[in-house]
Amino acid sequence: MRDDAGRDQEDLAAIRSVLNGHRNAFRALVERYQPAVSAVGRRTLAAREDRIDFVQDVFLKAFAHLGQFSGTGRFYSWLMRIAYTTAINRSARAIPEVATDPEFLSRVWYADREREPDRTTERRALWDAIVGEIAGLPAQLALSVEFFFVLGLRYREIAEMTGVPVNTLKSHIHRARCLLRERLDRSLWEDQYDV
Amino acid sequence: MTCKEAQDRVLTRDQDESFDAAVHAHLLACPRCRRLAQRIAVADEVLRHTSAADPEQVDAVMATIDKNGAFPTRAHSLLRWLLGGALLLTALPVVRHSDPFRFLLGSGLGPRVDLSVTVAIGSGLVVYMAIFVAAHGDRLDAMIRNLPSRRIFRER
Repeated sequence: MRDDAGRDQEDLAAIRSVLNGHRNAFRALVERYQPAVSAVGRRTLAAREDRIDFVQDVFLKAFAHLGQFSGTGRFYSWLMRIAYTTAINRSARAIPEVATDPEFLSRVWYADREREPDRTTERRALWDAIVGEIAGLPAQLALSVEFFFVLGLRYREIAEMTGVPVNTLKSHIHRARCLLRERLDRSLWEDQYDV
Repeated sequence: MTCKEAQDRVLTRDQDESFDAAVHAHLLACPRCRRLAQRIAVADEVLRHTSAADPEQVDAVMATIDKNGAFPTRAHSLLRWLLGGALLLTALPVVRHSDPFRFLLGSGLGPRVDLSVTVAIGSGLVVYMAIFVAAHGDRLDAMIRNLPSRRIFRER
């Protein structure tokens, strides 16, 4: 999810509105970020019931603590931190094990195959490169790489959330992007995007 | 700037990070590095998660919030709390050296008044600090975690 100053402003306006007593203004935030929270749940929790309950739990916590959101960072990052902490607390294991099965990870992060069939093949090809990088990494680091590419979180945000040092993360993103470059060299869609 | 330096910057670029003038100049001059930057930008875009919201889940969240009936409470500004604490600390010596207090100390009740006031002030400060820490626990934690010295330590 790419950062967008306009979106951040909309988030702040919605938050102010909620804090001024307009509870329904929170709906805009839920609509905007439910897919990302849901994806974190799919990635970290095994049982389906847990995952449905997880989304609810994350947003209820965010709503209850909305007054504590300082507004100095992105709401999206603040919410993802709540999601990550909630997932860890719910998970039987401290940090979810990394499944390096590309099929599983694609299913987790790209639940929109039907909506964008033309992009699915491209994503899968690129995703294979990312999976090549995360295979064998410690679980927390692998998840951090996924958060960078798929959720669009920044280095600093991921470091604060997961405790993975920024420089460690950077070196893995560097390697993953090298693999992406190799994949793109062989890609069919070079002509399509004129790159 | 060399191609390797420019490519390292491209390959470690943060979300929405703007390149500085040196990288821009290199990308303008070097078609190979420019091509890499364009490819990585496209790859980043394609990999991004873009699902649409599930209306049922959104409705379920909002229904629970409505059912609970509660509103989030506004956190009091950290600055306001700190100003309040500073005001309190400034007021203490003023009270301690005020004429009425000196009069009380000079009376027969002097030592008892002094002890009682000291205990009251001490208790007040402890309660103030406890409430302050309880109300700002998350923010203080985030601030401590973001101290430059802690960042350097974590990145090692």
